[in-house]
Amino acid sequence: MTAARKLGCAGLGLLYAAGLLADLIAPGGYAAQDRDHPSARPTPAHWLGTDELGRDRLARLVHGTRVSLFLAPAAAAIATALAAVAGFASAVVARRAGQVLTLAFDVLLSLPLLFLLITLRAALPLQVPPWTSLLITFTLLGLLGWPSSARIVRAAVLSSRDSNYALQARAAGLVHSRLFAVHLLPHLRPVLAAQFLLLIPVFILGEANLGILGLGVVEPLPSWGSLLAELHNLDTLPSEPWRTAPALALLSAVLCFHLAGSRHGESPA
Amino acid sequence: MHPARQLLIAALRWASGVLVAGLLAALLLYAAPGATVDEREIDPALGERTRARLRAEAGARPDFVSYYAGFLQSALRGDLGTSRAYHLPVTQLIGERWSLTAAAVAEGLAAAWALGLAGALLSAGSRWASPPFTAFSVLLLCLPSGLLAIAFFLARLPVAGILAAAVFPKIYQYLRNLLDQAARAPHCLAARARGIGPLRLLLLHRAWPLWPEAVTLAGVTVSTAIGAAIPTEALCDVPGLGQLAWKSALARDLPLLVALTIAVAAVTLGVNSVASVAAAAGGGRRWRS
Repeated sequence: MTAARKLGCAGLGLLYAAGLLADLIAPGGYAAQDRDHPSARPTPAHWLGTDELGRDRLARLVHGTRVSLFLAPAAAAIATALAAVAGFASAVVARRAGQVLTLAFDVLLSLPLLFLLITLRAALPLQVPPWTSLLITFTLLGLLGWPSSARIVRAAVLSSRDSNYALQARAAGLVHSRLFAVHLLPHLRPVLAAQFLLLIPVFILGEANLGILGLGVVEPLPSWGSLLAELHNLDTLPSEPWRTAPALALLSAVLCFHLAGSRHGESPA
Repeated sequence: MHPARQLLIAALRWASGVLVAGLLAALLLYAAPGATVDEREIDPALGERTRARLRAEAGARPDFVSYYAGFLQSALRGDLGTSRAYHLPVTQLIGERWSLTAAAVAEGLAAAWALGLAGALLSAGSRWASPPFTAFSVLLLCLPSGLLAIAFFLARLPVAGILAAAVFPKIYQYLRNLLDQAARAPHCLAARARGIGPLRLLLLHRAWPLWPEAVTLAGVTVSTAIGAAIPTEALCDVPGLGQLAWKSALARDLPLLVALTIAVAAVTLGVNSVASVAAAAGGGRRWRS
């Protein structure tokens, strides 16, 4: 294991621990208000100060960490599963059908993810309870983030299908279903694992962009995206640098994912 | 394959891609929750009879196939509908704003390509240049474009710079990887064995043969830059298409949002098709030579 990978794994371990122990670190919860101290500077009682409603920023940050770090992998799992099915199907169906599926991948890939996200998010009701908004946000990420992975899965299946071992298996009389189940699917596992790891930071960033634009998780539920939306008030930001803590947490997490996954598959680009 | 045939296939792929995007967009308009509800129904100034008429009009919808056919016919006439939030024709709204976004995207892409290409060449040619460029690109890759927009806005840097910062890491890392792979290619090993100088080797034998891949990447980066334009224009208050998309999403102005999506699909698919044809032609010539 390289030093960069160890560093990434250690950083992720710390962040996940903070998310898991959010209730211990901030037993008051993310919505508890200290109405006597709204917009307070950092104090021993509130290490990162309080927001305009008197809510502890550290409590909101650790609970937001839990939301973002646990739901982005869930969305990545959905996207990876969809990519596996779509990529596999496009490679094994008839040539014309495969071309149609590839065209659909191309159309979805040509559109910027954020454009698709805000279009579909707007098609759904915006005034929804916080937990519903959370579900909608991460489900949309999972449902829209698969096409690039599907193309990679398709290429991997085509490569395996035309390989010498597959040719030998076919020559030995192996039926197609068994060939795919026993020989091709196991070869896809590392590809799918790499895609899963690559999609997590993409979805963390996607959720953050949606949150900054006010189309992500709604109040009072915190996520990194909704916490970053507070940075809209730019005038006071230089005099209140502790408000950038969610941005630093997000930056650390994405960086750690890149470092930890650097041995898997392609480079982050 | 003959270039004319390649062009024809690219044009057909573009047209079918836009048709698929239109189909998905029409489906979205047709099936979105609340699509059959007219917001004027909650206007207290309207009487019960008017509201009943609005409900009847909204409820009497054709089946989806007829709806999509009508949608396509209107789109081909240049009528993309009327914005629910602005009460103006969608084509007029897009026409007023596209030039701002196009200028910002063009400037951003030019800056990103200049920096990305220079960074990749410097990093490939000198081991000392690689760490700062790589660190800078990884840092930018870890930030959402919305956050980049906030940082650039605070630093009073131009909008095109945000788009450049969002696109640069992808260009740099992709080109850098390609240049590293090219260094291990047999033709480069042969060139080095013949005593060709490092600069000539880098520019002529490693970088130049990669231009078809670079052209393909150029097509992809247009899509990335347009995506980054949404938070950038929204947060920096630039009245371009990105801000229009954001405002229409907040107002659930689906006709406008869908028209924007089709327009973006047409542009990005078109750019990618041209890039693919150019890359295929260049690749063919490269291997023939």
